[in-house]
Amino acid sequence: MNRIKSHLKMHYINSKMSLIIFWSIMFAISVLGILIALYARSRGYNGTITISHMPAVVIFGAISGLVSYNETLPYMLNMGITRKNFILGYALYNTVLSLILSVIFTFLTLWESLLYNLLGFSNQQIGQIFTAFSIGEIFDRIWSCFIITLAVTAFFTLVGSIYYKKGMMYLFGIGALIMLVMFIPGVAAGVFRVLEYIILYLTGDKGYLTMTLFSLAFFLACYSIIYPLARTSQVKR
Amino acid sequence: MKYAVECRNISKNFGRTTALSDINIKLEKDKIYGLLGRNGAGKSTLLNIVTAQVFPSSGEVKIFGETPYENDRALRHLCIVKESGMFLKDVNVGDALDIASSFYDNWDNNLAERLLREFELDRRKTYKNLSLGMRSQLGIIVGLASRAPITIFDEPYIGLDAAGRQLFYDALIEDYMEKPRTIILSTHLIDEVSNLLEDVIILHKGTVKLEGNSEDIKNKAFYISGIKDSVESHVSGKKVLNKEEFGKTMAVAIFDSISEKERKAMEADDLIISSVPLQQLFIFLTGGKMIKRGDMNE
Repeated sequence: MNRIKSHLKMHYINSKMSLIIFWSIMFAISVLGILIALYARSRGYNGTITISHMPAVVIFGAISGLVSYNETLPYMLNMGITRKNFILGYALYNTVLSLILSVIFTFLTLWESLLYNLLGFSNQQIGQIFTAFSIGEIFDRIWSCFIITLAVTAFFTLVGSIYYKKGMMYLFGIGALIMLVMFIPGVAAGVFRVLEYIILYLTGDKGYLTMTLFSLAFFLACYSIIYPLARTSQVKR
Repeated sequence: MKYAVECRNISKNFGRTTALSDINIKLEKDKIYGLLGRNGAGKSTLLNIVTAQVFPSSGEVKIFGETPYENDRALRHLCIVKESGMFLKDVNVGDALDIASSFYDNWDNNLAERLLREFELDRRKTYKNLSLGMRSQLGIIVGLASRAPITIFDEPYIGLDAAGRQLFYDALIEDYMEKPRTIILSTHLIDEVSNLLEDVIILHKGTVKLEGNSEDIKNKAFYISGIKDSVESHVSGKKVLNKEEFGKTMAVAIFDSISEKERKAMEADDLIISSVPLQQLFIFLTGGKMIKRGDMNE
């Protein structure tokens, strides 16, 4: 267990600077957004300005999953950690990172919402901000961001693990194969119908329990592929 | 007997290239070993297999009697410092030591701090901003401070100047005297480390060319020089590594034992006997064609 603790400590030290830089940029963008909104309003613009930082948060999680796996696996093996402990620690890191990103994202949105309200903007003018400022609303935001980021991070960790084990050409090969399959008449339409169904199903009134279960199932499915890949991975350098 | 490291029939192929072929070595506890070999001899591959970072194509490795692959207990005995450096590029020196301290059970923080001061390494500098020599210094600090029962240095001093290397040798021997452990030193700078090594393993083209106690090896390697005919008659039947002729004189390097009677006979014929330095022996064994016993007579 203390090896996993050491593993998490390594991730904390390794990623704290990129997290600080990322959130500094996010807060700077937030301030810029407020200034733009003020300027637009002074010019008489009355339409809705929609603000959402979630895509940036999800992309950060994705890149982190992709890059960090390739960087830390050989390092950890060199430090004498087993591959099993590496995967356990990495899955835990993915989860903790997704949660931290979601919490900061929510508080950034909360801060913006309060500021927009103070500046006299209505909810009709600024979209994607808090409306009720309740604990339930804060929790909803954190949780929805968390389960999406967790699933995306796991998926990109999977991509990273395939890249580490098999190389870039193998990934390109998978991409080419998927594209080839998509050219078969009816396949592309079928795939998009399935995706549409899943998205509509998840964004419907099924609640967070269903969404969480879907996210967890996807997370576990990704890690059930990542694990055997990691168990047979070797240090390249 | 439980060996610190035991390699049984280790072979490793990369596609059609054979990196290691049927390696059998046994390393005892609390000894300093020198793993010597030219570039591409297979040293790093062997060390990566020993630390379970690379899988052998065949054969098995034991660390204190246990296989290291996915074995937390066996892996805890090991610390490896590589020439390529294995640190995270965005992490500073202080944090790199902090991370390392949490992985090694016997980590000695006082030693790490002392070496940090002696090497004058700035703990705020990130790894990517360190010079090659500084990166080596960081690796050396981690290797020594880890106090791992099996500490492996794979070409640890790339880019390090002579003073820095001397500091490393001094710290290594001082720490080893205080806390004996198995140390494997893979290096090209044989002359510099020859006095540190208790046992030597010479790898050449993926096979063990020579293995044994370094003093025994040194005591079997001689230069014999003098009048050509006399030298040839005395080294007849000995394992000759190299011969050089200068007019009527000849200098022959042999790798064989010389009895007291043979030595006296050589001295009586005015032949000069001197020992072959380990580095020269290494060059003879790995550099050119090995002349087999009796070849001189053919």
